[in-house]
Amino acid sequence: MASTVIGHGIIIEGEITADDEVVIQGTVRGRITGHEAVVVEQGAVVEADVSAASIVVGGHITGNVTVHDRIDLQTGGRLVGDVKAARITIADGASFKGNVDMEV
Amino acid sequence: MEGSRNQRPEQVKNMADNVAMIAQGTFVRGNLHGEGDLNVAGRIEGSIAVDGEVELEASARVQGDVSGSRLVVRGAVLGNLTATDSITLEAGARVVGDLSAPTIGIEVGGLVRGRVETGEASAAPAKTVAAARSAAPVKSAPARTQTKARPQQEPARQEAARPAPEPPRPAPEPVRAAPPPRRAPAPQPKVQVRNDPAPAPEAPAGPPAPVLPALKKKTTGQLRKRGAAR
Repeated sequence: MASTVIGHGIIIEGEITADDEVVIQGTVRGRITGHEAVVVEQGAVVEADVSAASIVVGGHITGNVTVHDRIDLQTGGRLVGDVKAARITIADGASFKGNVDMEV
Repeated sequence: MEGSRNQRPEQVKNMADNVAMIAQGTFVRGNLHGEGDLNVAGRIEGSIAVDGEVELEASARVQGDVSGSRLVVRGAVLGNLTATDSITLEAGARVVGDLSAPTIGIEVGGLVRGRVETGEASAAPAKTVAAARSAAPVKSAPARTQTKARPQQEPARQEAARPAPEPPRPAPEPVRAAPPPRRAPAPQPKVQVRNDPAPAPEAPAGPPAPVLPALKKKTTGQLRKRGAAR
């Protein structure tokens, strides 16, 4: 039942720690630590270091990203920062600037 | 894979259009502001300022000021509540801080410790006194629990929670509310006394004489800190 949703008019400046899924439609500045998936939807702006089990990027992320499982960079998504992940997908039309560190 | 992955966010979007939900397992440290409604079941350390409705569920723990158009509280808040429309404290609500809104409702089982002000921001004192009386009996009872909680929380960088200590001081405006503020500051030194004996056994070499000066120094230091914070 319980997933955290940051609606598209909402701005959080600070740190988010979540046990469940986090869906971001608004703006987050600071740090996000999720034990489940973090979904950054289209139109969302994240200026934060993100750590999660998996991340879906439909919006904009500026910051370093650490993912235990996989990160999906969707069309229209933008990621500026270094990525550490086990698996990564970058869709056609996505923007990405940074280093990728995959466990080989 | 792709299909199922894409569906999930859209479902959530439809469910919660322009609504922010802080789930029970979620902890936010920082300020939260913006447009839309907010539903909190988790913990927030920091101020909340939205222009929509704010609902604090029974599991919610908020340390910081909360403002919105309409507040519904079932959880615990350490901070001032301000609403442009109304505040409703339902059963299970525990608020340490001032309430200010055109309309305020406190249901049976809702606890308040602080000033309650209805009507316009600078409303006639008559209404305030009436509201303060209803809140006054509650003040004396949970006073100890609050002072216990305060020293634990203050070192944890909860500056946002500091507005809470104000309520006892503005309270003297109504004449009858004078005694509670005396009680409120008094337990603080007591708590420090409790804290001081703890380090004492660690350094038994220290004679009992320094204990008194140490107490005074600490209290003045705390006063200065508070003064500086404001």
